Formats: sequence, C-alpha cells, structure tokens
Amino acid sequence: MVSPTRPTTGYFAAVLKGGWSLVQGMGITLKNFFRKEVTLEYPEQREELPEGYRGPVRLKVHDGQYHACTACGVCIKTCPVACIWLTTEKGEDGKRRLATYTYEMERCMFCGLCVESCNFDALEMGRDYENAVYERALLTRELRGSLTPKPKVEREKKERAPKPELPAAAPAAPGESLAEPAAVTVAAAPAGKEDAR
Amino acid sequence: MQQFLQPAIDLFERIPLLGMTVAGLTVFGGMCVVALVLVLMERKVAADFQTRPGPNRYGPYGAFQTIWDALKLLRKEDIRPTAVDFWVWFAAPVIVFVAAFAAYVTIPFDPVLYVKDLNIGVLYVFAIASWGVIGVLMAGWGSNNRYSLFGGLRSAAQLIAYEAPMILAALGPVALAGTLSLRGIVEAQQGVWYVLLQPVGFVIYLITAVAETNRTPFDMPEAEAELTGGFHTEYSGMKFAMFFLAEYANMVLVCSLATVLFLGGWQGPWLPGFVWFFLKVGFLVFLFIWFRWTFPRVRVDQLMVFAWKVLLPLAFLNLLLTGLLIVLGVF
Repeated sequence: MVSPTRPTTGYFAAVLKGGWSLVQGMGITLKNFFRKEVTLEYPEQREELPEGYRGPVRLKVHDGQYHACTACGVCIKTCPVACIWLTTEKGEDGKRRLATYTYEMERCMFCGLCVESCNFDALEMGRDYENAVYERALLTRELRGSLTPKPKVEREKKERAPKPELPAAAPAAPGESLAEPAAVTVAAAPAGKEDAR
Repeated sequence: MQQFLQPAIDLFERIPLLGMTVAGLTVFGGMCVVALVLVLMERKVAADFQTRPGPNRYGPYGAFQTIWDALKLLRKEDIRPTAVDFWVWFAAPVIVFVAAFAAYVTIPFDPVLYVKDLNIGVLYVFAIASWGVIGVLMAGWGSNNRYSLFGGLRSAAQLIAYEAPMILAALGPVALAGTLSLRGIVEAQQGVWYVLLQPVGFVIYLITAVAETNRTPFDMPEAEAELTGGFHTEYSGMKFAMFFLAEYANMVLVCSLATVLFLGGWQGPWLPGFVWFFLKVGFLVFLFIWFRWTFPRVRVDQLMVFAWKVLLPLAFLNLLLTGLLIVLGVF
C-alpha cells in the first residue's frame, strides 16, 4: 500500500510496488493453503511425546516389579521447591528400606534435578501430559505403590562395574559436598552411598 | 432451462402478484442457503489457510455445522438493551437486510433465471445497495454505545469513500456495452470478457468491493480487536443473524455484480449458464476469503487516503481512457 506521508518513489511506481507486494503475500498464504494440516484430532488421536519430555516424576520400574530407591534422600535435598519426601521402615532383613515416596506435583516445577541427582537410577520423568484433576489433594501422589526394593545381589553386580572409574569421577565430589549443608532431613544419605560402593 | 421454466413464467405473467411472491421467496431462500454455505466455506477455507481441519464434527467434513449454528442463533434470547433508541435500533437490521435483498432482483444468474431485467440495472443495484449505509449508521446511533457509534461512523465514511471509485470502475463495462441493463452487459460480452479490456477497472472494483462488504483488510467498522464488533455489538439472536445474513448476501451481491460486469456473467462453454455464474461467483468469494487471511487491517486514515488519493484518480483515468478508446473506435 502506498504510504501517505513519505512518497519515496513516483506515484505509479508506488502503486505498482504496493500491488506486487500484495501479490507476494497472497502467494505465501496460497502455499500454506495447500500444506497438510498440522493439527491433531486431540481426544481421538494422542501424540506420544518425545524421549526428553519432562512430565511428572515417577519411580523407575525395574524388571516389572522392583524400584531401585535406597531412600538415600539426595533427591529431597536437590529439589529446589521441596516437593518430594519419603519415609523409611525396617525390612524383614533388618535393613532400612523405602516405605513411601511422596511427590507433590502441584509444587513441582519439572526441572528434572531429582532424576539427575539420583545415584541409583531410581527416578525418571514420566511422559504424561493429561495431569488435570478436580481436587488439589489428588496432585500429591504416592509413587512407591506395590513396588518392592530391587534385590541386593543385582545391585552389587551393577555397582562393581564403575568402580575403576572412581578417580575419574572426581567432579561428583564437589556436588556431594554442596549437598552436605542441607543434609538435615535424611542424615544417612552419604553413608548409604558409601555402603553401596 | 428455458423449456423447463416456460410454464411457470407464463403463469407468473398472468398473475403478477404470485410471480412477485414466488420470486421474493426464492431470492430470500437462496440468500439463506447461500449464507449458510458461505459461512461454512469461509470457515473451511480459513482453516485450510491456517493448516488446520476446521469444523469437522457435525456431518461429513463438518457440512452441517452452520445449520446447527443457525438453529442456535434462532433459539437465542432477543436481548434489548435498556439504553437503546428503540425504533432506530430495531429498524437498522431490517434496513440492512432489505437493502441486500432488494438488489438481487436484477442480477441475471442465467439467460432465463432472473427476477426483473431493468434498463437501469447498474444504477438500481448501486442505489439500493447504498441503503445499507443508512442501516449501519442507524445501528451505530441507535445502540447508544460508543463502540457501536464509532463502528457506524467509520462504516458510513468508508462506504461513501469507496462507492465513488466502485461506480466509476463499473462505468467502464457500461460504456463498453452501451447499456445499463445487467442482461445487456452480459450479452455484450459474447466474444471477450470485459476483464481483459478493463483490467485496471476490475482490480479497482475488486478492492472497493472488499471495502464495501466491510471485509478484511477494510473491516474497520467491525474491527473486533478495537470496537468489540462495531455497529452490531448490541445485537443478539435473530437481529444479529440478520446482520450476518446481510453481510454474506452483500458479499455474494458484489461478487455477482463483478461477474456480470467483468467476467461475462453466465457465459462459458459446455456447462449450463447458472453453473458458470456460480462458479465465477464462488471463485471471487474464495478470493475475498484469501484476502482476509493474507492482508492485515489498514488504519482509518490509510483507508481514506487509499480511497480518495489512489483509487479515485485511477478510476477516473481508467474511465477517461476507456471513453477515449471507444470514441477512437478501438473497442
């Protein structure tokens, strides 16, 4: 369209130039007219979200029935918004084990730090996106459910492998010391870790 | 077509009142159907431009969507705001609707399918269609609402500004055909359509037609973002539906007129006349929708400058050149 205030070119040149730019714009919209639809019929078709999507936190299920959590509490200390807590109990073998793992989704900011901080591959970010509920209380979830602790033998086998790499894994040390000052809720965390190694 | 309709035509010539009633009802029914189809077309084409499916729940490809919409509008409460100037407010949608309705009378959809062929057809159509401005202005004023008033005022200014170049552009074909009768103009395009002889006139007509029907990029009177709907803010239910109906009827009217004046009306090979006519009108309507999803809305001052400083001189030049060429015997 010809500018009323700044006639930079002649009258007819401006009209032609403006007209041509309109035609160009219409060409672009026409290209989109023939493009395939990009939308999904949502309730009928649901998209599987990609690998890196950070949905609500859950305990990783090993072999269909086990969880790998040792109740060390590193995730609790790492969580910036304090939306995780857990309780422990004494198992039949007299060892301390996870009783409940509570996750408050209403406070979670889905940063994924708990998953990254976990030393036992016990946590993962889910890929659900339909998390709306009618009551606030429903957002606080108990994650352990019927999962039982992973048998110790297997865990030792797994942990033996990275042992030679220990000197190389030096950067892990500052991270631990960083977490140290906050170690109020679960004091046994560093000790439990050393036990595992 | 001719043989098929002949008995009816004979009957109507014997009983004029019956003929008028049937013609009126036919035009009214046609307008309603056209509006329903156009709303669906508008939404589907808009969806295509935005790479989404559009309405697709009711019927195959959402074909019944607008029927449900119309039923919903019919069932709605007819709200009358307390502050309105009742008779002005009440009469506005009627006037807008009647203006759109009455102009259809002369449009020749087919060699035999038309209501009345007036020898001043072009003049009649433009004169009747101009009534719409009064209705819009009344709606804006009677609603007693600032937004509505702004919408009505903008609309009046815009329609008057764009009517001048529109009529000047339409005069080109009139001069070429040597008649004001719409039928005569179509018949004069036997050999070559006037869009080839009047390309500038056609472009000017198309631009002004978009502005006359208050469509994007010239939809200032009802700019949703600025005026919350403009002159029809205070209308609901059936009255709103009448504005809506008139809007789409006007759109088809200006497209029909463009078809008659520039695209050879019903003329075309193989297919029957009215099929050609509606194909051409459909293409122009598609073009309008295409404009809508391409161009951003212009500002009020740009709108006026464009009409008075660009379109009007160009239309005058075009008409002068046409006249000169006719006198010189080129056309």
